[in-house]
Amino acid sequence: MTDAAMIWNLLAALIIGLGYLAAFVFVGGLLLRIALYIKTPVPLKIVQTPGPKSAPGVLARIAGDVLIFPNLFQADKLLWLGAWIFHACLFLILVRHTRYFLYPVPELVIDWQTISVYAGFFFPIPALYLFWRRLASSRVLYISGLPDYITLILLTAIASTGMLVHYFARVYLVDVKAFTLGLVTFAPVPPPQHPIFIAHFLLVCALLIWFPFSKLMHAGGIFFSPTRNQIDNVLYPRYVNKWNEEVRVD
Amino acid sequence: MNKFLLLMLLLALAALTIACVPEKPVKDGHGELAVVIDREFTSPVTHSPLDWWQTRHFQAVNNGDIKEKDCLYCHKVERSCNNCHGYVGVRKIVP
Repeated sequence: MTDAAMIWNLLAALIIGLGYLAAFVFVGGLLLRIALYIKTPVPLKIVQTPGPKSAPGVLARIAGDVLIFPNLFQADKLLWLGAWIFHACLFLILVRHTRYFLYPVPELVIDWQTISVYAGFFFPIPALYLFWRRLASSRVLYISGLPDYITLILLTAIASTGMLVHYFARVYLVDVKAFTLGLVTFAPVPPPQHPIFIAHFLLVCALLIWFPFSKLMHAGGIFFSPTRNQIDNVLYPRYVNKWNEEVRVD
Repeated sequence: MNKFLLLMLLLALAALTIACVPEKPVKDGHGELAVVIDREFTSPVTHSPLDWWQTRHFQAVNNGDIKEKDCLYCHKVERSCNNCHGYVGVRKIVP
């Protein structure tokens, strides 16, 4: 074996190891954070009015929050537009990327080929708008911290390298799929020898590690927000706090 | 006991997933997805170098340099088009 082949094998092993580490941190971190959300006491009804009066109403409210961000729409129309396009593009791109992890690939994912190509082209624009907004508005700049920028930089870098490997410095998709399927099935094979693809993969690993410890957890936290997921029935049933001490009144 | 059963179920699911994954499609390779082209056809000059052609052929079709139906003179759809297309999840060729 030549020196170059040995170095490549070592690098491939590191990349594969990092992929598994990122997946472990992502899944473990996500579960821990969700467990924390579930365990957090919610002793009072703090539903945000006008609140839903039933469980289906709560489902509809959360679905609305997830899909169309109505509160943001009321607050800032331009930010709503940028955020909605950003999330819609991200959703399309993520669904389309499931083709690398599934075999056979679902028909829906194949059918979304064209629209997700446009989403990929369009994605950096709202991402750059959200980044620019943090710098251009003095109020937003004041409350922005390094983690806010890291998230946007990571997402934009991932999108940019993704576009490069898809359109300009193309990578052979069969090798990419063999690599990702190998990771998923615990029978890893070396990644394609393509520097931009490897950069794309490492950036995704960084994002996965970053995800559970960042504001990106709003993706899971939105389902556990007590102001949004409670039923507004505070006046109907008698509500007794479970950990109140019993008071003798005789 | 329930945790043990759940673990066994997950392991069985993982084993089933691994068993269902085929070998990647490779020209004259092995497995159900192997790319096979009849020996009577010689590779045209446009396909050289093959690495470049494998990653760029869709652009030649999209740009109108070649027509999809021209590919089908030599390529059998199921044995040397849609096995790869299905593997990577892109639009299948309809003969």
